[in-house]
Amino acid sequence: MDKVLLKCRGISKRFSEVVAITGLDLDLNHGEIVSILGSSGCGKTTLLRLIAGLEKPDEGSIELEHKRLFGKDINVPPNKRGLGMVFQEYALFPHLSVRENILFGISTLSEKDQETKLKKVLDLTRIGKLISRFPSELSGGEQQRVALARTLATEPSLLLMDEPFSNLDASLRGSVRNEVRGILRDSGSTTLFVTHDREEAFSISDRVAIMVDGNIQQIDPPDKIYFWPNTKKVASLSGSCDFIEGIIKGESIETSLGSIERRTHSMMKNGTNVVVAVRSNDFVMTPDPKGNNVVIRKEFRGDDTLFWVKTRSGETIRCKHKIHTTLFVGLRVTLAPEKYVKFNAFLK
Amino acid sequence: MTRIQSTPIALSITCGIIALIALSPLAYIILKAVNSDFESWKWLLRWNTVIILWHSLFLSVTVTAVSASIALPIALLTCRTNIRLRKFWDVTTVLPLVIPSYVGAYLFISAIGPKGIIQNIAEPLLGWERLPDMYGFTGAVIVLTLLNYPYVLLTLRSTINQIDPSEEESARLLGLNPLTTLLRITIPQIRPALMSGSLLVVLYTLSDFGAVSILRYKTFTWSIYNQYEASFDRNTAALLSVLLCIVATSFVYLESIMRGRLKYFRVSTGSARSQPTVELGLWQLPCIFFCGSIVLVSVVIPMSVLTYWLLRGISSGEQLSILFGASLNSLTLAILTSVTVIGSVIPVAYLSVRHRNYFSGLVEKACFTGFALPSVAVSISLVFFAAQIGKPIYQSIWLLVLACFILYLPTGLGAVRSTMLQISPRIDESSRTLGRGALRTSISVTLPLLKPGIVMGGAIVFLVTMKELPAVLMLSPLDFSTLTSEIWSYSSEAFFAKAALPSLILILLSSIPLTLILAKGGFKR
Repeated sequence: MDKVLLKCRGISKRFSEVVAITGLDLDLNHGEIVSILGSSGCGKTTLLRLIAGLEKPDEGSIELEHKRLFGKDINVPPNKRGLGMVFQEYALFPHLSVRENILFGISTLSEKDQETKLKKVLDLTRIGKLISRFPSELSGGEQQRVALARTLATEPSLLLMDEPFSNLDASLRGSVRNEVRGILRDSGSTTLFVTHDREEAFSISDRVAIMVDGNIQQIDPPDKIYFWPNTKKVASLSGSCDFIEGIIKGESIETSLGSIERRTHSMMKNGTNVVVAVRSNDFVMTPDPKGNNVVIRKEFRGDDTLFWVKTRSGETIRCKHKIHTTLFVGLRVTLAPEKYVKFNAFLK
Repeated sequence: MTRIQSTPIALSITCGIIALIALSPLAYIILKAVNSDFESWKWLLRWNTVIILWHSLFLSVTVTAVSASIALPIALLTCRTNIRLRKFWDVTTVLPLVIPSYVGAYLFISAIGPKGIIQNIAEPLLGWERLPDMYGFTGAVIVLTLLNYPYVLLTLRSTINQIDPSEEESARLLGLNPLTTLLRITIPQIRPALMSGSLLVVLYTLSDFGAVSILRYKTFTWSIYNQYEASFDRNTAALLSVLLCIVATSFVYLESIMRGRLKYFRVSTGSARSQPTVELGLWQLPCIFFCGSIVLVSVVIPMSVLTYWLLRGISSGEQLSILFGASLNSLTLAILTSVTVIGSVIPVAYLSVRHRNYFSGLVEKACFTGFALPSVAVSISLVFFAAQIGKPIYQSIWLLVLACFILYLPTGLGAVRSTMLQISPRIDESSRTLGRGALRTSISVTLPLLKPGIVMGGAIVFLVTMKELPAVLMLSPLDFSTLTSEIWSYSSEAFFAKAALPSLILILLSSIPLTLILAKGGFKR
């Protein structure tokens, strides 16, 4: 069996003057969970809606299991696409009970099949107790699970989720996320979900697609996205990140923080002017009266403290440290690269 | 991002036809006016026209100003203070809505006019031969204000209850006292509602025919009706109607300019919080006195006068059989109108909310024209229509239903549209992704969610159609009488006792939809 489930080619969409998506390609494999990570307004929700058939692309093609959903002269309406969508605001039907909501999408089946599927999704999402309630009587997390159950009941070949956790309390988000990941794994659903939360994308997905200005800049497993970003944008979207200037010299880069080792996945000639992405845990900070760098701000975070350090050349980088009390603003420090860390350089 | 797919053709055609029907009377009288001969135009440019124009304008502006100044304090008192008997005032202050203006006028005249109750009592006791003259402007202002102020009150109240209290709370924290908060924060927020409520009163006063006729104040509607009844040349009536429509439309336009880009209040997003209330303290008594006196003169006294005449009528023996027929006719008319209006309003609201584009904007505007058209003008135009094209429905109830349909389409559309706006497009979309087509989605999801708006809209249309007078007088088939035409024929001949029973039946029947409106109709889960 071919492992590609969804195939998008050259999709573009503009809303009057605003270009939302330009020539986007995307492949999704059977059974994987892929998240689209991007800042607000980058077109990620639009992409989901185009795949669902709620908006019509200006050009391009969409195939699901080798069936053409959109293309020249073809535009399958959303109700015939056989995919499911969970909306950011859940969009439960307020006039129907939980049970009626879940049965909504499978009402054409025989009564026996309906009951079987109902029981299956209730077990999966563990909402058996809520069955006779109405949406307004549910908490955010419960609504989330009902929305998921309602969609899973139709056994969609592809599940689309639009910012599914953004309406939940921060305290609830982590546990609901784990739960949803479990449900998705158990049901074996191929899932495409959209988020602007990095942690969410990393923790839940097999692959992460970084979307910038209406196109996908990189799609890779989370660790690869974090450690091997293709572009500056990917670097800053995949983790807190500062940029300092440097010059390529063989395997290393000359910067205001001295010579640092680089990742050599791209060919760069000696003497090339570059910018280097620096994560907040890349450098070790040590107090030193003769140090070239000065702490200019600090922020207590609980597990660690974040320091803003001004380098010799006037650049600022952020640096994490476990010690809070003895390090203070105005302190002179030295910065040394953490062991085994290699840095990513990008053309200016 | 509300569009699912391109607009369905059947929906567009349906809505297009409804829009054309709504526009037809206006188009027709304009056409008639353009084709009028020179004599008619000359007739129009008389001093008399200026006088009735002045009368209409002066009356509607005065009534509106007084209505607003009664409604605003009542709205604030009942929504934002700890006034005693709050629930009681909530209900009693909107009750005047069930009293039609001509009933109000007739009760007013029958009480303090010549040969009225007061004179009957006062003459033998005190030797008064004449009471101060209450006909004309003064009487019209008193009657129309007392019966129309609830329109402003209702719009204000629904707005005040929806305002997000956090703005007022932050004003308090920024150092404003309750009074300055009221003046600088609350009132500006409810100004748009005050204006749209006032616009309603302006338009109802401009188009009022019954009260001004009984009170003998010569306005546009009175003139148009008399031109129509008296002369064979109905073109002059059409010309006057065009002029009246222009006046009414200018008010609508004026309101939209004055509101300008003023945004409506912000609706609170979180869970509903209770509105801040002001402790009245020593002011409790004066405030109760204020509300009480308004209720006394607008509800208690009229109903007492009605009861008086009713008892007089019963003692002289009334014929109940005729009234049964008239009640049935009134109900039939109101039900037919509500059903046709609601049936048409649902597709129009769906189109204008879910498929926003140039076409749907035009359709929506067209359907709202009836709002600015006085019923006398619509009736005149339909008389022409029936005589020339609409022969099949001439002399049938359907011509009357058509008139009421055009007049009250905007009323129904307003209610259903605002409910439609509250239904998230995501709800439709999730039904689509769950495998239901557009039509099945509308039936199984949109329609049930529209129910509160449909109940509300249907109830209001029912209420206003029950009260409709000019259209009934001008377009009824021969031998077709309704409660309104019964009341009219008796009260205009000063048979006060005979007019009492149909008035009471009309008021009672109108109270049914009003209870629905007050209970806000439908489910709220």
